[in-house]
Amino acid sequence: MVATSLAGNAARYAPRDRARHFTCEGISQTFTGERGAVDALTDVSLTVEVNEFLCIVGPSGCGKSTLLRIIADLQAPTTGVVRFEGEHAAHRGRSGLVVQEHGTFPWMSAVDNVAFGLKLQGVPAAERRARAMTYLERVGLTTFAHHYPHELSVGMRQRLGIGRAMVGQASLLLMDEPFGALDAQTRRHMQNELLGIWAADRRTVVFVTHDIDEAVLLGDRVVVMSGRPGRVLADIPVPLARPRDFRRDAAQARGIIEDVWRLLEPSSTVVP
Amino acid sequence: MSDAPAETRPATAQAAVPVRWSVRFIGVWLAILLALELLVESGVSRSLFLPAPSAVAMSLGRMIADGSLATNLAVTLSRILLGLLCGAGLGVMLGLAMGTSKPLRRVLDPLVAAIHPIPRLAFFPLLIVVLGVGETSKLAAVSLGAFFPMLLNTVAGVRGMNPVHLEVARNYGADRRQMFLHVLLPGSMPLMLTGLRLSANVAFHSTIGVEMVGSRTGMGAMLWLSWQTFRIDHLYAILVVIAAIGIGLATLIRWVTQRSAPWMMDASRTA
Repeated sequence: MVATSLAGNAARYAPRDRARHFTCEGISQTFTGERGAVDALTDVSLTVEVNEFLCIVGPSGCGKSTLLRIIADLQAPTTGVVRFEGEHAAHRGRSGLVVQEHGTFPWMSAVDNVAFGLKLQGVPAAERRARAMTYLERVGLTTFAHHYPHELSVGMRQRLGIGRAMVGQASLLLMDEPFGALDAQTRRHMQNELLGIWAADRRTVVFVTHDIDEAVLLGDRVVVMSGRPGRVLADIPVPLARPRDFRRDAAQARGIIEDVWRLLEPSSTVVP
Repeated sequence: MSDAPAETRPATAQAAVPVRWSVRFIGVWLAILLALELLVESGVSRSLFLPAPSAVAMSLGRMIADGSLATNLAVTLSRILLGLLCGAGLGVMLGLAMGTSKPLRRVLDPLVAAIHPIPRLAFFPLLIVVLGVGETSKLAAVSLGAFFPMLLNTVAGVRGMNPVHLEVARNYGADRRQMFLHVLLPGSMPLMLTGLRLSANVAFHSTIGVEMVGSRTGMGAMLWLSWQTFRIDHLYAILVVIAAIGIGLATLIRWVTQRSAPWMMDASRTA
């Protein structure tokens, strides 16, 4: 699975002694449309550990969002399975999903948005309010509890989505380019905040992005995918110390970022 | 008035200019009425079609005094509201069913497509044949008018739901009931409210139309009678009342919208 040029690298950062959260085994996805069949994913296998921050990068259209939807159980793969380990198997399809934009419900106030998952679970009103407020505080939106999403900035809405995903105690957070719509400054700020929230409240995170710098600066590991049909090109550990400091780490990360670019270069010329 | 679904972005250009009781609004009207009054009083205008505003006001006063306004206004209002309730109620129920069920859509789409372009009032004679000359045929005609805008906009509202919202809700474990109650219903609310506004308009228009053609009571009937008896001041007075009904109805719908979709009112301002 690991590209040859990186084999040495991978050996240096030996696998940590952590429990498995889930594995994707030989996942392929073919969409059949009016203009014939399109292969979105080909034989994708990867293992995700508990409380790991995994980033998936790849060119647009490489099926990384599709892979995330398959992990979220919103879509069934054409072939292959996603196998959740032990206790996590029961929570299949109950992950905290964070999407790019417009994921928050415009008809609910911020606090109701965060409390939504708890409401579905039948948590009593007073308790779900209290828990929602806790997470609103964690994402820095306490004073905006009774605002509707359209009254918030894009960055605040994104934080709201993250709070909503975390409040339900889902052990797995699935994020589909959550910062894709943000300007560079807000984006950096949000990345920092996400890492802060994650450090305080560990979960397994699968983070899909097309931004290589972002993937390397956030993840414990970066899975690099090829252009369509998406395959795993490499699975690269990121040995940067935590807590991450983007300015300090940027220099260290450059080597890894360059590795990822080299992997993607040939495939980007192939993608139509 | 088209009852085709509006753009998914609610409350933009389709909103009629609302009446604002500003100094400017009242000032402009006072000036016009005063000018008309002077025109008629001074004898410059001897037109039969242009009674003095004071004559119209006196005519209105007589209608209020003898109770004929109250009786007929009550009849008209109850026809509008009952017709709206039946028509829009059925429209929203069938719309939700069609919006969520593909088989139902496949069967009913051709029917809706063929029937809805026919002017509602054209059905009135048929409805009289089937339901008789009584109140039922009038109610049916008004309901039929109110039905289609609500139906079409509800279907469009459900179909136009942002799929991301449905997926997020599913991912948080919503069952079918929760999905409907907490996501589908509020998510399609903006277009359903647009449908309600259009339905209210059509119910209003249909009621006046039906009353002019086939009723002895109601504002439409009074209007028609004043033309037949050629009482022009009367005719103007009734037009004023009908305009007031329209303004009142629009205000009612705005109030309902504010109550049932508070997130939407501000959205239209900031969007």
